[in-house]
Amino acid sequence: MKNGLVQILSQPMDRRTAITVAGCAVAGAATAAASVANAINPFASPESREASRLEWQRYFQENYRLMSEEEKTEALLRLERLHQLKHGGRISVSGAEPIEKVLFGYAFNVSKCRGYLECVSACIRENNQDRASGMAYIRIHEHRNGEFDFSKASDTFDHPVPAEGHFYLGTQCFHCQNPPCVDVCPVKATWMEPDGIVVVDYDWCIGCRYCMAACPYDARRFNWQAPEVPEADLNPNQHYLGNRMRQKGVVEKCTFCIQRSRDGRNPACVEACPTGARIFGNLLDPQSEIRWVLANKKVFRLKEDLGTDPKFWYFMD
Amino acid sequence: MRFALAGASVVSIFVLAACGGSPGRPPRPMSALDIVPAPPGVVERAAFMEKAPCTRCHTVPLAAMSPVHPAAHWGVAQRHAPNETMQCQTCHADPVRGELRMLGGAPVGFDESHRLCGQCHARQQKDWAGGAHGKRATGWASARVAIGCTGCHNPHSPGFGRRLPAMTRKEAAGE
Ligand code: SF4
Ligand code: SF4
Repeated sequence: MKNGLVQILSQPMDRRTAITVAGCAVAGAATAAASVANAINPFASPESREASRLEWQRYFQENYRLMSEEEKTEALLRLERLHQLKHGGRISVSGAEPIEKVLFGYAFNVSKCRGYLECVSACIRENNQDRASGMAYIRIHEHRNGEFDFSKASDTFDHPVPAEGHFYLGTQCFHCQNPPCVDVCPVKATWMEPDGIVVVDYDWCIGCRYCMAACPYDARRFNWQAPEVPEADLNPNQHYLGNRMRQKGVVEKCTFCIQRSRDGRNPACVEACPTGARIFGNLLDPQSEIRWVLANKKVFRLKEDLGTDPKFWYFMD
Repeated sequence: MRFALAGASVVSIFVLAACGGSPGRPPRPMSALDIVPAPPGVVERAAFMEKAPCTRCHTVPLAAMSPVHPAAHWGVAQRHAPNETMQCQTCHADPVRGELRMLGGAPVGFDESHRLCGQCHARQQKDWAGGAHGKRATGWASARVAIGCTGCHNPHSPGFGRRLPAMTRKEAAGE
């Protein structure tokens, strides 16, 4: 896999090549042509012409991992300016790099989760997920006691919780150390960062949804329509590989709140959980809470036999 | 938020030293009698409590008080354990001294609920000290400051209730 990756990444492949490879040239050209038409339209306002020019540049920018430092800075500023031009508000898009000697891991206490969905709600707000389609990275599965079958569990309950005779278990992206979703991406739009976070470059993703098929945990979400977040509800503190606004036709998922975790903070779900069922930290730090849990609790992972090596463990009191 | 930095208490250092033992000798296994060290910091709460210490309102010992004006504590119901197991005085010092007390009678501050509660809930106390129970007030990268027992649990009624979820997921059943 490594060889193939290096090979593909070392080939100069611009956006157009990638699209051609995927056989989507017609749709791609139409989008690009529209922004060019507006950029040179003498009757358009200066703002809308600037926006079109920036969209055009954005359309042909590199895969994030191949960008030089200057190109990365340009891409981040471009997103901030584009938002200002289109919506008036200000956002900050960070490109914070992974912290050295950090590998993120997560633990979920099945005995403590009571189905309050505070985590889901906080995640949606933190990560600017589409309100119209009700997208949510986290699913909380309500299982009947003594039964551990996801096909029989409900993740759409809306009655008072905890329901008698049930237990609750949450799933989201597990940031597998051996992620099958990354292997299958035909354009290398998704990868694992050195701190273990599996990310997507939303500007490189062609929406083929291979990664969704490959993920054994139903962790990825697809934007069937352009995601909508009311400006007043928008979280303006964004990261390029995290909660910045996605567009129609791309895949997104949990990033362990990269915009927070690389800033030393806990993911929004961990902070919001009222029962303390969620534990997050640095797997390489022997003093961390997550390491204490791994050393002192009987932990298990889902579908361990697949060899995906998730960095997300479950345990019970 | 203000934090009370407890530091490694003398007791916990003593316990750790005792566990270490001399080389070649297996460390003594942990037992429920070992005092579990607190994390480096515990979120301070006492300074923000409206009805503590008791001496803020009460000037006479509990026994000398008239039982006529209990209105200030009407919200308090002991739903923690059966009355034969626990009464107010199990945790609250009497006569009123503005502090809590351990089962053996030693005083303990409102910010040290982990010591008080841990007398019965030893497993939870151990998990809390290690990081598997409760919540921390800081992010993963900062020194660990934990929220004390009473930061989440109402000590008079420590269970979490049944309620509607924060949102409904019905509409999000698709992708
Ligand atoms: S849980 Fe799914 S999306 Fe997340 S890293 Fe693993 S395979 Fe990829
Ligand atoms: S949908 Fe998934 S596999 Fe397809 S390009 Fe996007 S990230 Fe890659």
